Amino acid sequence: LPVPFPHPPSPLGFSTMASASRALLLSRASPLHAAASRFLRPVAAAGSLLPAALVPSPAAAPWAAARRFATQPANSSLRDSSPNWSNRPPKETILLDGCDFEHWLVVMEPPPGDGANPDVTRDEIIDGYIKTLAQVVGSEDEARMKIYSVSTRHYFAFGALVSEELSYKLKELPKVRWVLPDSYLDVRNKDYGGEPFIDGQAVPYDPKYHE
Amino acid sequence: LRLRMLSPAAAVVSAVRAAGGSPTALRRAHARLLKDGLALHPPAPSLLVSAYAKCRLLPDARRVFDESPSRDLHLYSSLLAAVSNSDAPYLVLPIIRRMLSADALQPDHFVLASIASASARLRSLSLGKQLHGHFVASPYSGDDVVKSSLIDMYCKCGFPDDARKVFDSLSAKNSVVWTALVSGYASNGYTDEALELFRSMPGRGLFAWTALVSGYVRAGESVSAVELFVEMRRDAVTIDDAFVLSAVTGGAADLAALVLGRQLHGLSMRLGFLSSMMVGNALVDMYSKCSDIHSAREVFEEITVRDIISWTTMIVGEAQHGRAGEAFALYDRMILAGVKPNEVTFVGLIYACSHAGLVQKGRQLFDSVKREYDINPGLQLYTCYLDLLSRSGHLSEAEELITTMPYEPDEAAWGALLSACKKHNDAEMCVRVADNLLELGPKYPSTCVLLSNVYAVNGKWGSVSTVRKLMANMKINKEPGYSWVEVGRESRLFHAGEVPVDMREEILVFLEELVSEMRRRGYVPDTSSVMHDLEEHEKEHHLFLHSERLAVAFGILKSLPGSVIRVVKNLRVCGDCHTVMKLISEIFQRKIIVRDATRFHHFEGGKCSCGEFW
Repeated sequence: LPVPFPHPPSPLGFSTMASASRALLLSRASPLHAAASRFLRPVAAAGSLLPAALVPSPAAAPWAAARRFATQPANSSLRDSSPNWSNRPPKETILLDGCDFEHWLVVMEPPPGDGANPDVTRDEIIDGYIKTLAQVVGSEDEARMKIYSVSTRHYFAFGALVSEELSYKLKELPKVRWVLPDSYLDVRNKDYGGEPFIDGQAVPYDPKYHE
Repeated sequence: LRLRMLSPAAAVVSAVRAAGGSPTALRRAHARLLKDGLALHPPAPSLLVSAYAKCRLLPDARRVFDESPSRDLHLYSSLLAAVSNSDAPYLVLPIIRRMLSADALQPDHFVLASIASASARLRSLSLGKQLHGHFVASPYSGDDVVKSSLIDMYCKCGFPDDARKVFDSLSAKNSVVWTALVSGYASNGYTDEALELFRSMPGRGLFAWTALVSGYVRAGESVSAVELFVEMRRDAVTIDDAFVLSAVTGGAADLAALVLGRQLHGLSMRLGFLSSMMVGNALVDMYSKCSDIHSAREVFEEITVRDIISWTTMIVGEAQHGRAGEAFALYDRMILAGVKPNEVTFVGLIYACSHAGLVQKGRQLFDSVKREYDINPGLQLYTCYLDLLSRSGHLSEAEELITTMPYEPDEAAWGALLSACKKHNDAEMCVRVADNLLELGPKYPSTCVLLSNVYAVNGKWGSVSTVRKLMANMKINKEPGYSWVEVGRESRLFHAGEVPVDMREEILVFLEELVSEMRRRGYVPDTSSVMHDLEEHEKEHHLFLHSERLAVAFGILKSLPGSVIRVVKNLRVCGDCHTVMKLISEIFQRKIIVRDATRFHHFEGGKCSCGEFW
């Protein structure tokens, strides 16, 4: 097999593309503006105190921001930059609290109607979740015991306590959009969020579960 | 009627205020004031200027200013504030000159603050410093608002230490200015200082955390950024703004940490931010960089309102995954949706053309950049286009481009041309291009190897020894190779040549059996990519322990059968490993995706998606 010769750095290297797209992604204005203006004198808006990263850069080329950074003077706290922008590869996977690869957020196709007011009843939605999970755990009774939360408004998903292997099987089912590793919504109280599902039953709906 | 019963000044104030933010109401109020003879006397002009500015009618504001028979500081400060917040902050300069000379006014604290704000937006250190000097000598030198603007200016101009000096002189520090300095330190790479300042902040809300996390990501320290995010979550800070999510997702993209990215996807959904375009864009980028182009595409299609960043991120992602057809189809949809492409869009598209060998299409696209969209192509776009021409054998056209383009060609550009010349066996051009590259002074070892081979093939032994000397002075080991692989929730890092103790037996046995099986299928190790001065069998052994190989071995041994193995390598995959990966995918019937320094390789059934184009 003819092997291509080792190439010098490519024009589309990740370092340049990443800087470009990162600069693009981080150049968005944010609601910080509102907070900032509260502290300023009303007559002369005495300057936008938005942190640098959060103000749209005035008509600058997408990677101008990155290029600017690249010419900073060396400093004790500046790490040596390698051609890769990623200065330190992670030695272990970083996990958010609550992520144990046993709790999975299973996101489903939304039911017909509007997200805040679906056409189908809450019980029917939950029944759909149970039937879906049953297909990989064997029975609806099993499924009822393995569901720890449901979401029946705004986003349609349920929390399932299954192995990683089963989570991949879930992803293959029709109507399942995503199977994501779940983590605590409320870290201090170790709560995964959504509407709690306890002992095979959904707790009555309360808007506080979706604020 | 009510208007005439108030004092003239109060009447004016009331009229302008009543107009609110509506241009028509404001113009009506202005007309009435003109008729009542109140428009040209203070406080009307400065109120009108500010009101027009709020309605984003800067030319009208300017006209009121120009028509005002007398100009006081109040009027100047209204105009300067308006201009410094506009799209053209550089327009403060002529206004300041006029104020100082024609009207002989000395700036007050309002004016100074506006100028500071303009210099921040212009990132003009020289203007900012002049202003600072003026400020210190003025009677307003204790003013905290001006100081806050100066802090912002120094941070944006990249001098957070100067910002810190001003910060320390503040009589009262509010959370906005603390946040500005934390962000200034962090995004300029002074991450230790940022963290220290952050920890000493009294009361840290979401804005401060956001500034810190996004600053760290910007500075390239994504691991720390994510660790801080985890800490923020433990601090029970209410996330009522999506920016921090998009920033930390950007960090996951940088790290190619798919497991983390998926967790953040789930979290964004539970927090109710999945409809945010900013979060959507960050997720598309993350999935794309984590080698999961299908998920990237799914998220993209779910984004309800898409902007140029959404489209460009997706197009570039498809291009880097070798899916040229998808990239072009997206471009067509984007144009149909009325979104104007930017330079990065074209870099992605032309890269896709390069991969698919579509020269004519690439030419058309490159021409349309200036002609249809009035964008001046930068060096990166030129280099990309050059790469397309070179790879497809249009060497003379490529050479003409490199000599006529409005930028100094860099090592990447000359290198791309030289590799192509070598491949197409154009001896005379090879040497010519090589000489240019040598004159430039190559910095990468792989460039030197290419040069020395080209000269050797053409008998230019003098040049060969020049290159060899260069190479000897360069540290070949400057960039050690490493790869990491995510298996389930475990992520492992492998350095070239180092097998971790706990897996030693398993991995070495696996690799040896693999080599025998490969040899049976006709594999011969290709040692030309080993740059060290070693014996042949030592070179073979060296290849044996390349980091991506160790990572894939680990992946096959430890992952769920049938799952995709994802590896990220910091350098370009070498030729031999590329061959080996293809064979592994065939032997073990597994899909392997390797992200190297330049692109993604999808290995499946003995083939690679890159089509040998890397």
